[in-house]
Amino acid sequence: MRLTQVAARNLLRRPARTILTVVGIGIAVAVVVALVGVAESLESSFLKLYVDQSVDLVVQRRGGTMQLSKGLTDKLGDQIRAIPGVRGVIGGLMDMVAFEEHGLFMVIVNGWEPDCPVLDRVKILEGRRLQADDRRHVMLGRVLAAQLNKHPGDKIELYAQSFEVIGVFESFSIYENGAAFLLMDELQRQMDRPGQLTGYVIQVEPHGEQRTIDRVGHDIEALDPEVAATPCFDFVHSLKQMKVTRTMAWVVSAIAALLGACGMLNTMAMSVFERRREFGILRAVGWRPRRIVQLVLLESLCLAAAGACLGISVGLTVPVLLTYWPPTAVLVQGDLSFSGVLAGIALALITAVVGAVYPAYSCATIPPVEALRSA
Amino acid sequence: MNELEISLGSKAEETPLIHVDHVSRHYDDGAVKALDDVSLTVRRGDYLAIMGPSGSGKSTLLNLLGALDRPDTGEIFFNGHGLSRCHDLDHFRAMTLGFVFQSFYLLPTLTALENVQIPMFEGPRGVRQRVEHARGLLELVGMSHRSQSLPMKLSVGERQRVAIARALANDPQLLLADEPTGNLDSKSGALVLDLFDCLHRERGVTIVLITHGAEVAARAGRTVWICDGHLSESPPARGQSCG
Ligand SMILES: Nc1ncnc2c1ncn2[C@@H]1O[C@H](COP(=O)(O)OP(=O)(O)O)[C@@H](O)[C@H]1O
Ligand SMILES: [Mg+2]
Repeated sequence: MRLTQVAARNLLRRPARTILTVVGIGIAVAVVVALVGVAESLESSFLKLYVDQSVDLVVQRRGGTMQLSKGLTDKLGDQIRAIPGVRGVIGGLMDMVAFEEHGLFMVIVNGWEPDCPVLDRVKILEGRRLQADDRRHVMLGRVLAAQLNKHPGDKIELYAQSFEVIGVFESFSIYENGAAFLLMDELQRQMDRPGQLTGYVIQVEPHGEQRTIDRVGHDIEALDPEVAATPCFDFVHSLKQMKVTRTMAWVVSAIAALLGACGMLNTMAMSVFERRREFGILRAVGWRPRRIVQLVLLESLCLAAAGACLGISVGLTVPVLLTYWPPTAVLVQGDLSFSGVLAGIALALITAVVGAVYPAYSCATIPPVEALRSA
Repeated sequence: MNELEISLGSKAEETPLIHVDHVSRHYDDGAVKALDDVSLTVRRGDYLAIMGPSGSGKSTLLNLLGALDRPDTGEIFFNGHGLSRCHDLDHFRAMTLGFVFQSFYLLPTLTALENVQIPMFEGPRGVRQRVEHARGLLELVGMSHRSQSLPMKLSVGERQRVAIARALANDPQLLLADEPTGNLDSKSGALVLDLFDCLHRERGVTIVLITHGAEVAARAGRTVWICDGHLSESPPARGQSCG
């Protein structure tokens, strides 16, 4: 017989308690895996939007990322194009609208120039792309078109006016698939912000070279003290929404971890306490306290491992399911999160050790005679 | 060599297996003198019965002999070595002593065969050897047909025999038994005592046993009496309160 068999027998002694503890730890692990995973997925799908377009720098008005209210002028774009080392400049205007009757409250609307590479980059599934003189025309991302159930020729209401759907497109980015595209001057008119843009994305030559990126960024910021040029990765990482999501994920995870640890501590403390006499027997036949602690730790590790397996499988399934749920489908890319799984395993491990070692040690070091006398 | 020395009555015989030297054990800050200045010598191969009324300090003495507890004053020598100076009493218990308790103290989740293996975790045997050795011991106590049974499924007499097999797991020099027949009917009690006789006679195991029954004590070669924490080699006079 091995120590693991002794541990297994003890776990099977009270199957209901064992199962409840495993489920408790499983829930905590699932929360951690899912939240960390969703937060990471949110960030990585946003980063993908920039990285896949070989964006090196994001130019915005200083004092806030993703500012929709305060913008930049379209003159700045020409000045940036004149800086040596700049290969491409794409200006964009962005807004958020709601389609309440469809349950969509944060739909992104982008305004692009007619010759903007973005319009060439996306794949047209139905209809055609926007052209220079299109008025009251809109292109819909694949997911948004499906959610609104609109096709080319249909009308949608936008800014309290009727727009005709001219085309449906597909992008590599889940954000763009959930967005609507308008021509720049149309969106400027609707938002009543003539000549204004939300920001520019810049490609430098050679792409990705840190020295060039730094120099061009410096030159852009020299054009106007109100302007900030941020390297792409830093930009995405520093987005307030990302920070909030990340912080939320970790805070809720920490709470889940605490609850999991309390549950484990409770279970192990109970299980250890009701076995004081048995520990006395083990001590009497010569087991060292250390071996008893090992036995209890083994039991809690088994519980934690089962909880981790349960939690990880649930936690990985949830984000995938979220991609099928319309309100979250455009936000989450159901890919597997390595750090989420790691965090879940770490949680289960810590829970096991915290829950087991203290109760086990405190019972294993009771003098054997005293332990044997206890009921 | 040891046996030779013993049989020749030479120097080895002068070092008793156990020597209890003026030992006292008090509880509740001295209010209860469970043992008061007790001295006792047990030689290798002895079969000693301890008798006395309940609460007189028998279990206290046995726990001290078994290194489960430490005396307040005095010293216990095992093979001439003072237990108070032993650094690893757990290992000492595992490898040298076997315990048999009145209420068996088997682990309820383990089968008879597994219970017998518990002390072997401290010994040198590997997983397979443990199983084999445990089978042999169950056979010795006549319990091999119930090796897969949980203690709950066994009669009390059978439980005690499994407990004896467990006590023998690491081939102890000394078997300590605290009222081993106290919870048994006379028939299974006799079986257990037969087993002790056999171990004593054929294996030369030294046995110290607590009992209330004179017929139990009669099987032992020697009997001591404890009254109110005092030990005497002769029975208390009839009708006279002890101490
Ligand atoms: N841990 C303890 N704390 C306080 N008193 C104890 C303890 N153990 C034993 N005693 C007391 O010591 C005396 C001897 O007990 P014990 O050796 O168990 O007696 P016996 O085994 O002869 O019935 C009794 O009065 C008992 O109440
Ligand atoms: Mg007693």
